Amino acid sequence: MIIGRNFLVKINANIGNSAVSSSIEEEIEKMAWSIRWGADTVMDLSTGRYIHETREWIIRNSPVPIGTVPIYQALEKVDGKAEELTWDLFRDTLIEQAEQGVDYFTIHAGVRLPYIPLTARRVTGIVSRGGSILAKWCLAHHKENFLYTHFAEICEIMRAYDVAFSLGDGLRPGSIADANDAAQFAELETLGELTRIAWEQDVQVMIEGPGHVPMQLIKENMDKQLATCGEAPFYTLGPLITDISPGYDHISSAVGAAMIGWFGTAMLCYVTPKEHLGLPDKDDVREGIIAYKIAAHAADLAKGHPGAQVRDNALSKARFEFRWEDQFNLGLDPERAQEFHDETLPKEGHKLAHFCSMCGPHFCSMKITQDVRDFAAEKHIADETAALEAGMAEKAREFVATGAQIYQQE
Amino acid sequence: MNAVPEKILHQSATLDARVTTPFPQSRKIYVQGSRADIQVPMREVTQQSTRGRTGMEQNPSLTLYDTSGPYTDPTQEVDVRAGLPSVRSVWISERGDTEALISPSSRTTLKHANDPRTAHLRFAHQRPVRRARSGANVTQMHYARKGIITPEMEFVAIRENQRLDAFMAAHPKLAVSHVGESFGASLPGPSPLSLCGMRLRVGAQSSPTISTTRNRSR
Repeated sequence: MIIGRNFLVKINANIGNSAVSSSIEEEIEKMAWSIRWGADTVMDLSTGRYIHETREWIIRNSPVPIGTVPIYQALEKVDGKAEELTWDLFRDTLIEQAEQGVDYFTIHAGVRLPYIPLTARRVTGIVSRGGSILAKWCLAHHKENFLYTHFAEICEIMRAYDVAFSLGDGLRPGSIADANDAAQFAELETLGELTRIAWEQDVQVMIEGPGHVPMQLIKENMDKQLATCGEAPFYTLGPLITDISPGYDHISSAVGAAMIGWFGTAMLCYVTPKEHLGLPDKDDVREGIIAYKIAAHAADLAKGHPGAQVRDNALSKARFEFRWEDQFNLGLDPERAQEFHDETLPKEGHKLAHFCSMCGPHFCSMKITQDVRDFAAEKHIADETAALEAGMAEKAREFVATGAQIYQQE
Repeated sequence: MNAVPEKILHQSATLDARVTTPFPQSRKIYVQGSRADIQVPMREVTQQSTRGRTGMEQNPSLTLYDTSGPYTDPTQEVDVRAGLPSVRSVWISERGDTEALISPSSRTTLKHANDPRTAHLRFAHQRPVRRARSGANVTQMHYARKGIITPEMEFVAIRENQRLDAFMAAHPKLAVSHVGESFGASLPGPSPLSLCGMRLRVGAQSSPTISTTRNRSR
């Protein structure tokens, strides 16, 4: 997979359990389910005691790159006490995961000590799990973030195992009110500085981005990221364009994702309907991925990515010609499309029908347009406007010939 | 410490058929690169013919971006207990800048490897860990900056292109496209042309990419 704003927009799906609530097979199945619907990468955010074993199984069964947030496992190793984290323990975790074959690490090295007070007046403070862990460590020791001070050593591990950075946005806004604030952009400056250090060592970098941003502030995020981080691929979570959509956050975030993808974001991290509410199940994963496939493809279309419109053109032709099966099959979710169609018109014969249950057989605009085109072809009339006129004239003659009565007797 | 619950891993680990069933009218194809072991998976969707006034019109198959790997390929057996076949190991080892480690370097990995309580959870088919030789840099960015085109780069380029050049050359009607606004992203493409009073663009007429299609027979 390649990412960058010059390429197709990619999407990531997060999987992972928070306790030993699901089996290893279930986690593998979630991964396979994610890629079935089109995830380009999968992040394993599992926590719990068997995180090491679970990850091994997922990596060895995944056909797409796997990302992780190593600070989660490091925190498990100190029983959840952030202040007990050490560089040595974190370094060992990086090597452990790199040797298992993880493809990219989220590293929250931009959560610097002086930025933490900037979050004090926020409505929602620090909402990133990794960000809050490191903020707690910084405050407990009153020291600079050890990921920042040891960044060059992290780069050495990355280059020895070919692991890419996903520089975490630990200070991303968690609400519309906090969008584009001083803390968020201060961290972004640091992520730009760290990008240059990583690039000196030829280590690949993605930059994680927000979060919750109203639409009019989205472009500023993209413009600042491009300028600050030297066009390193931007990798955003949504953003949600409103906070009032619990239960439907995959929709509000896909709106933001489509916009920021259009402006140049390279990869969109999905949000499921369970965001802010609970762990997603299989159905939520599917809903989230399809929402994000829409966002990513909409961005490709809007950018004018070569060939992006081919699938739309083919599907629309199928739709117009009442090739129902083709319409289902060219869609992002052929199973859902067929199910919905069959709910009202279940018979096989209906898949040959030149109408659907939306308007019924006599009011189908596509059918009427086709009839006009057929009439044009029959009468050798070049364009449809002329066909309509000729058709109208013919109908008028018929009308007069049959007695000019509006209501004909049978 | 509590015993590891047995339910966490079953000996008969299998996947739900909903995960592995191919989509309707779809088949997995593999586009070969410049060497036989570059096989880029894609999904080909076949279409029905259009019943027109003047007879049947064939509609072309479409190639779609497909990240599902062997899971939706009925010709490949997926055994989660064995893991997926390695795509990159030959490419990595033939570069000669990595070495296989005799044992893992992380304390945690060694601890887990010797823990009898989690023995039944361990993935059985371990591969030797590879790491850059001392002083070597094995990132794709490093190779790219040295001007090397690795098999990995070729793979992603073929995947990204999706055989679209050839498709658009063969089916110009389906290649019609609006002009985009890319906000400075560098996207390849021919110059726009005017059609039906709208600013539209048709697909590249350049020759198809080096790739050829074949079914993987195994």
